[in-house]
Amino acid sequence: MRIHVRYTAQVRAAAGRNEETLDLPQAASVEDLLRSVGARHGEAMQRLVLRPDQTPQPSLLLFVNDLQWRPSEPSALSEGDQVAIMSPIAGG
Amino acid sequence: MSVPLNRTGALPVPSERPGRNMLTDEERAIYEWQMWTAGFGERGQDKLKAASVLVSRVGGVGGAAAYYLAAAGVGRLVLAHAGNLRPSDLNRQILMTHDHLGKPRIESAARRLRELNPRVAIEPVGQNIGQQNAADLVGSVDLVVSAAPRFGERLLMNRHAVSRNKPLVDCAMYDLDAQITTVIPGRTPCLACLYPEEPPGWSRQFPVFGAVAGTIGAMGAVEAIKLIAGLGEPLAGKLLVCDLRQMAFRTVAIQRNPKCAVCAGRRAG
Repeated sequence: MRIHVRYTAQVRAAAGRNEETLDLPQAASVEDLLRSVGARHGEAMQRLVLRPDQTPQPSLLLFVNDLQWRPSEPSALSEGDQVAIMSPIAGG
Repeated sequence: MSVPLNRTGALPVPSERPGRNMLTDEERAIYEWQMWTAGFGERGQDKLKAASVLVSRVGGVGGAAAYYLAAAGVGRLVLAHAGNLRPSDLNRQILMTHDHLGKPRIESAARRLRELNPRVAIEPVGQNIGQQNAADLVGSVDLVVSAAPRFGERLLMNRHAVSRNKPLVDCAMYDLDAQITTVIPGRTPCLACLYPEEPPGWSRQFPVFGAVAGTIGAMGAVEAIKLIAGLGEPLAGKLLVCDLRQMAFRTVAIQRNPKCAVCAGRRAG
C-alpha cells in the first residue's frame, strides 16, 4: 500500500526531501513505516526516529491524517494515509 | 503580582485584580492605534498594563517576542538570559548591539527594551532558567513565553507553569521550520505530553536566520497578547507548524498524554 510521508525540521534534513510516497506491505504499522524510513535514509534518520531497540523515539511528533499518534495507540496504517514525521525542535 | 487563571483558563480581567492601574493620557496616545483593534479597546490595553510576562531566553525568538510585548505595553517583563554577547549572536538576536560584544546579553536586551518603551517595568535576570530559579521566576508572572534553545529549560519552565497554573506559550524554530503552541494547565497538552523526555537528537547549535526566529517570536507575542486580553482563539491544544521554505502553515490538534509525568490527572484550575 502507498503511504504519503511528510518530513519537517531535522528529519527533513536527514531525508533530503520534504515528502515522499512509500510502498509498504498491507497491514503495515506506524512502527513499520519508521523502520522503513530509517532503513531508507540512513543512520542519521534512524537515530532521529527510532530508539536502539527499534521502537519509536518517544519525543517524535507523529500525525496520521492530521491526528496525533502515540506509541500506545493502534498503529495499523491504511492505503493512502498521510503521515507527518516531525522531529522536536527547540531553536530559540 | 501573579494572578491565577479564571474559570475559562484565561487571565482574569483587571477589574478582578488587585492594584489595577488605569491608563494615563500619554499611554492612550501611544497605544491608540492598537486600541482600535476589534475586541481589544482601552479595556484590553488596561489588561496588558496590569500583566506580567516571563520571557526565556531573549535570543532570536524570545528577543522578538519581548520587543513586541514591550511595544504593546505589557506592564512588566521579566527576562532571563545568561552569558556574554558573541559575534555569532548578532544575525538574529535583535535586542543585542555590536557595541555590546563581550558584555552580558541581558544588559543589552534590557537597555533596548527600555529605549523602546520606558513605561514597561523591565526586570533583567542574567541567568538561564534552571532548578535554582525556575519556581520563583515562573511564580512571579502571569504568563510565560518559552524560547530557550534547550529542551531541558523548556521542560523545566513547563513543569513549573503547570504546577502554578500559568499559561505558557512555547515558540521554537529550526532552519526554516517553526512551531508554536499554548499550554493552558489542566486544559491542553503540556510540553511534557509532547516531549516525555529530552529528545536525544537536538543540538544547541542549529541553523537559523534572524527573520525565521523573529517570525515565530512575533507570533509568540501575538499569542501572549491574545491570552492576556482575551482576544481571539489561542493555540490551545493546537500546534501551528510553519514551513517557511514553502510558506506553508498547518494547524494540527495535539492530545494530552494520560500518562504525562507533569500534567496527568490535572484539571483546569
